[in-house]
Amino acid sequence: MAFEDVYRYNELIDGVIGGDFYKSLGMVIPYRSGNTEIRLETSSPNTEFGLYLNEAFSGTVRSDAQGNVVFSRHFDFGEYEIALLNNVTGRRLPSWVTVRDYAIWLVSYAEVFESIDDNIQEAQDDLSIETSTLNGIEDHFGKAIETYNNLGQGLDAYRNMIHELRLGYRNFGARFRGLETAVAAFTQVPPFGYTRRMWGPNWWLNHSMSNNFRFLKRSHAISFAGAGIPGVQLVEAEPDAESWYFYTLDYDAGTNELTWNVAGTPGPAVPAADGVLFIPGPPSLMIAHILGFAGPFAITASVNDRLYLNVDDLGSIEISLTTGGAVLLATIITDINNALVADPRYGAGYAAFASSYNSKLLLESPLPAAGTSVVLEHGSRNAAPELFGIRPRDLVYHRPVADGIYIKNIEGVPDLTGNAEIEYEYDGSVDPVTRRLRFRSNGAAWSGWLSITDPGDYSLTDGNSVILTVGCLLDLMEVLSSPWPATTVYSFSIGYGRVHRNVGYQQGLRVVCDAASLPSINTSDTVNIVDDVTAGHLLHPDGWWLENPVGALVTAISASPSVITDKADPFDHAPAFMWLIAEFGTETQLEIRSHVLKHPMPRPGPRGSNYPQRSSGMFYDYEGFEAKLSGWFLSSFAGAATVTPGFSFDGGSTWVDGAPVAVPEDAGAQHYEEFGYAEFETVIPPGVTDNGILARFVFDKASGGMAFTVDGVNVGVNLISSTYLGNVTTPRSRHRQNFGELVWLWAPTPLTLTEKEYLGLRHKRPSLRTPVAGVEITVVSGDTPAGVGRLEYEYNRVGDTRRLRWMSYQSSFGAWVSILSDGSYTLLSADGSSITVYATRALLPILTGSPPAVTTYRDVTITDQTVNQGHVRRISAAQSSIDVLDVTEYDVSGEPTNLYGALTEADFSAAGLVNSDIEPADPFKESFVFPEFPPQEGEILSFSPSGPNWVATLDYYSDEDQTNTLLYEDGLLVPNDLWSFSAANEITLTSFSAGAEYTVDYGLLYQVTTDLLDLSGITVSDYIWLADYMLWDRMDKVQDAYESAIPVYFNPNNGRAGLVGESDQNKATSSLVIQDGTSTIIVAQRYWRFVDAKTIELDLAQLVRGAQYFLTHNELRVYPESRLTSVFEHRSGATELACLAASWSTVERNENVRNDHDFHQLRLSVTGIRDLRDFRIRSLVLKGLHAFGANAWVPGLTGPA
Amino acid sequence: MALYSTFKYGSGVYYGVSSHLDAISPDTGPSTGGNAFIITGANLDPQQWDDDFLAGSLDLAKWTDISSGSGSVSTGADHLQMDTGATPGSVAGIESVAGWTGIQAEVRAFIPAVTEYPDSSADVFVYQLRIDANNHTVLKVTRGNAGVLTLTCESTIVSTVVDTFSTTWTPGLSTFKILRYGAILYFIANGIVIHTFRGFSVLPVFVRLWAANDPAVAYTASPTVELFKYRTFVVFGDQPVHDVTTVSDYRIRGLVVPSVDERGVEAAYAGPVDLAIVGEGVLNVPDAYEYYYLDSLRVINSTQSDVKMSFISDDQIKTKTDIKKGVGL
Repeated sequence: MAFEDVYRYNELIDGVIGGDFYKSLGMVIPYRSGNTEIRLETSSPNTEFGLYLNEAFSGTVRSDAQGNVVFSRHFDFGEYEIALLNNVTGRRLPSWVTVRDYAIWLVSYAEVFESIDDNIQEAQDDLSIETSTLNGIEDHFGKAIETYNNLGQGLDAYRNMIHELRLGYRNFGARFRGLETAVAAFTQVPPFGYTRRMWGPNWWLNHSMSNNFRFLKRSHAISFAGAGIPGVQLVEAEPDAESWYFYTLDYDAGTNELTWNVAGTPGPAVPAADGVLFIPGPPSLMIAHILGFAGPFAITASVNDRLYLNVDDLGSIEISLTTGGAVLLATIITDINNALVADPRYGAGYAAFASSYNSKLLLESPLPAAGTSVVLEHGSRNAAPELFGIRPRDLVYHRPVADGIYIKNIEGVPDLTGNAEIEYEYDGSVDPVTRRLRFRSNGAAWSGWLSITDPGDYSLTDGNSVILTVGCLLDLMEVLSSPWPATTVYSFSIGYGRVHRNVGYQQGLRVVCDAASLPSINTSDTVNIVDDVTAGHLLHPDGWWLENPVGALVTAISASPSVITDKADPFDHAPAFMWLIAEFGTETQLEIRSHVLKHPMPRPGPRGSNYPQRSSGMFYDYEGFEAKLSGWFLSSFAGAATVTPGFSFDGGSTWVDGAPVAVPEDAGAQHYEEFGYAEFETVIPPGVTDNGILARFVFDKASGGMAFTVDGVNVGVNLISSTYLGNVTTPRSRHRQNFGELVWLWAPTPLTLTEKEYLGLRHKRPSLRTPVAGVEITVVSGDTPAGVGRLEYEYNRVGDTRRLRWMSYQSSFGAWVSILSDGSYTLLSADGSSITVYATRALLPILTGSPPAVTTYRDVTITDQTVNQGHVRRISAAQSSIDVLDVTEYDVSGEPTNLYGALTEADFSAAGLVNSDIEPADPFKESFVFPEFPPQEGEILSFSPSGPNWVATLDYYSDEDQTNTLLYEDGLLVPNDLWSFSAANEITLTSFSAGAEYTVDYGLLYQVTTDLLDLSGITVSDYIWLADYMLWDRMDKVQDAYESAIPVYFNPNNGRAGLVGESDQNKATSSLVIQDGTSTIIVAQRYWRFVDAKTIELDLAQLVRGAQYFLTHNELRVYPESRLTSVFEHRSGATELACLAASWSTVERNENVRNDHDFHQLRLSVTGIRDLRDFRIRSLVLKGLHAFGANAWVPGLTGPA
Repeated sequence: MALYSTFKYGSGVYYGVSSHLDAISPDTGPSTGGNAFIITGANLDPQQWDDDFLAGSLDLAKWTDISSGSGSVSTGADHLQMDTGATPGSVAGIESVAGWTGIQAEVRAFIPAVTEYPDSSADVFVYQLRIDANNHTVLKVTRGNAGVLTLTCESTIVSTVVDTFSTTWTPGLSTFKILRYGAILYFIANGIVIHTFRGFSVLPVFVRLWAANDPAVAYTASPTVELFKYRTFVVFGDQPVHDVTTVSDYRIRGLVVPSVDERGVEAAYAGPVDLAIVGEGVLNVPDAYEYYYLDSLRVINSTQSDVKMSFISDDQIKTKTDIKKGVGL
């Protein structure tokens, strides 16, 4: 749409009809009978002029202080030359007017034009963000993206914000870059995106980053000793199958089953079906048993003098125990054995069922291992907790305990003789309603009340330190009737039970079976399993090696007894094994090592070009996070022993070790004792080389001869661990918490409610934003309870004092706060929560009433945590679920303590700038750095001799891009092997022509170097520091062709169809087809054609009415493309001098930098611009995630989001 | 960062850093002023004399208590509280330890409402730049007999009042500034220049803040000073810019004032002027900024019809652009 030119007085004059009468000289003014007052503006104030009308002197006039000359004269019809003659300089200033009657209507038109022109001008201005008026910019641009100028910004800062937001939506919608742009538009700091789906817990349950962590893999050769069994191909044996042992595989043609024999003992027969088969070996040799305490035991009559057993499924038996304050182990053993022998179901065979093992109470089935079981059952007066303790899962309970309340776990030692209780309180008198729970086990004091605000898990600890974890679903929880708050108590019992049962099979075999090739008769063959022909029986797991075995060693692998017990199903072919390492000589130290798992680890990791995370990361991607190495250990020899876990991050050259941990002894060598746990945590340093991380365990024992069993080895990264889910799956209600996207953001100033709404941050929202005139609520603290709070205002005309105070829901008022001047005030409630208000003193009301002090109040309802969609979600892909979390920490003055760098105009003014300038902004935080000088063209060089060569200094620091820099000698290009950059602002020429003019075209270097960043005010090692920058890039638009198949609908009258997108109109690469549901018919090229880029035409004679046509063609699309090249560098040091002396190293965005240095510096260099508007550097920052230390808190990572 | 040392006021030798100028951008502009300028340098934001009076006691490194009679001052959560007490002729106030030849200090003071009407007048709040007892200038709020508050600017040289200006005032929070550059005084109340005087003494001044009651009649004046803040300012020629924005120690910005010719006519001078930055000391940079004339818009205005007709002349020096202007040609 074309706009009228707004300077149209000329048009008006031109519009006057022709003829002598209408001719005019200069301005046309209307004739009047009296004087016309004329004002002339001159550039000479207070100057006397001679006034000449048509060369006739008409007196003197004097200009005023502004240089204006005003005079009144009578003008007849006709043309006048009005000349002012400067009495001092003699300078003559002529102007012309023509006096006409018709000027009267010119005047009228002019007035109307003025008004119309103003409107046209405003409409023209409102066409672009850059010129839009103060009033129009919100209506024309801000409204479209729902972003208004209500953040206290200057107009320019607001223009820049919506400009960047709109380009973000246009170019980067549904991409992370768009999200980044949206966040940085408000915070200046790009956020950190964290994809829990990729990085965090995933469906790869219970996995460790330790190599071969369950000892599942043990390389070996396996082969039939004879002719084998036709149709059966051996794959591998389980790792506990021994080398050079006696194995046979039998095929029963009658039943079509395969059986795997270990030393003549068969496992269960497996149907010989096609495919990969797992054939278990014989049952495990581990006899069912339960090991208790050593005693003596406190057995009290009528309290805990009973034991309930069921052994080998022979039936439940209640055993009375000898009572006493210190009953000896032998007495208990006798009580148990006598009771079993006396029971006809058990008899004499169980005379030694209870025994002493390592001086502890052992219950062990007397039967061969297979199928044995020992079960401790629940009953009244149960002595089991005294004899055997309470381990996880020993306590049993029913669930749910009430609607919407599900018991998930109980820890501690509850009294089992009576009921436990949960009390539930419901209050429907407030909006939103409140729900609270408390808990007590039998005889204990109540836990504190706990508010239930969201669906999820809650833990309650009663007075006996018994911890109850319940899952709550708000929608299902009971709605109690008024009067409110109403309460009800749910009772439930806690029972005891422990089971040990032999159900496992060992030494299984995996084969591939081709059923059609199986023999028709029973066939059997010996199978050889060979680890190492020369080393014989040494069995050890793949990926692990013995680093320090000097003496004679035996290693063996066997089924895990307890630490990992998931071989519950005999056909489970993903069991766990333990590794036994023994040395019977004089060694006092053993060391085992392994590489930390690298797979899957596409490089680079989540940083750099993989940022935000596009692929899974593992250990090597977690630089800066804490790594944990752990395992379970048991020593089978008597004597004190320790294990020391350690990591090496440089391929084994140097090691960081944890503290030695004592390893439990099991002198009975049956692995009945509980394994001991040892772990070691350390931070993964930067710059880890691929495959360079090793883990080790060093065992020490004072006397020679040792046997250690290792189980459940684990390597994980704290906070981010694929083992996070443990042994449970994620319920749908928690799916988002574990699999949604996380966006952490940092802001240089505490975010206001409005900013939180724009960003989509969770926040508490007040029902009234301005409860009292002059008072705007800007922040509601996160611990403010939901409900109706009260803001009270007091005006005292004595002294004109104005005060505010605040009371949150169900709390009482905090202290009065005097409002002395305009500014932010934090109003505390008695419960410690607070609101922050911005008070404008002059607008606070002057209250009338009983003097001197008068008060008024407003109730303000605070909602619970609520989230606006915000730009973050609007700019992101549909269906994405994003948790946006502000992780900035501030000191008491509101300065961020985990965000450093160049962010504000003040920061940039302290930074080093090359060829760049600072854009002033209000507020200061919205300032940015932009290119000050464009690329140079035709800069004339002045060469001077330098040794054998000639050098010239450039006007600006260049990008030193020799390929694209053009040096001319008298307009002719100088080959670029005759010159080179000898410095960023210097060119060296090897062949110089005296008298020639040299010019150069080159690109400039644009660089920002931050001031020294001093982090010494905080514990820098408590944070993960991510170096990052926000570079807004205008992007070039590049048109490209994109093959597109679209439906087209022809107009039956003219045979034409419109295309949605523009086509490149190349028929050679296009085709038109008719699709009728059963066939596709290609329309011959000669029958159709492109009319223009958006229209095709089909010959009407060829048009099949009702048919569906599809056109495949190259659609022209415009893609944004960056022209910029940027290099981001970092250096750091423990001291200022060390930092300044350190060399720069290139880092990628969001690369983790050292957290043991207090001083850092960042530098960003940009080249490749073509226009001064091409980029804006909004910030260079170090962003801290508070992942370590006593107060570590990264929402979503260290706890629920 | 330039170091300097100088004798000051005969009291000793002060060492310190001085403001330093790297550049002013742009370094040229129209004689009418109004264009934005940015000054980069160092030590542009001196804060060592700033005080919010929140400490438990008066900072004696900055201030001396000059209270007399029943007057007293106290500091703490309620900032600087002055209380003359009822004894006639009492003074509650403080005086700066440092003295300046160029200074612009902002004082945010709370003037209580007048609730007593004794037959007397009192200096409810006085902000004084003082050379000695006989040479000084004040910006003060006084209470008259009828209880009306008056804001007065008054300069005294050799015990003679040489300049005075008064206006009515209201109680409540006010922000006062006195800008002093050589002999030039600007009196600024709530951000507005209410009075200027260009004939003051050029000797160094100390800052005094006080309240005093009538020498004869009992009355208590009790103003509160929330803040004393040193504000850097810039001077083009001898035209101060009192409201520059201090971005950081390295950067200040503001709007250029119009040039003034030798007859004191605004926007009538084109040519170089000295630039002074009064922050950490007074930094003078000769000919650092140059004014030029804008091409002027000439308007012929017939008052009878109010029609505006104009044309652009190109007979002025340094015409920057040829943009279209006004409704005319």
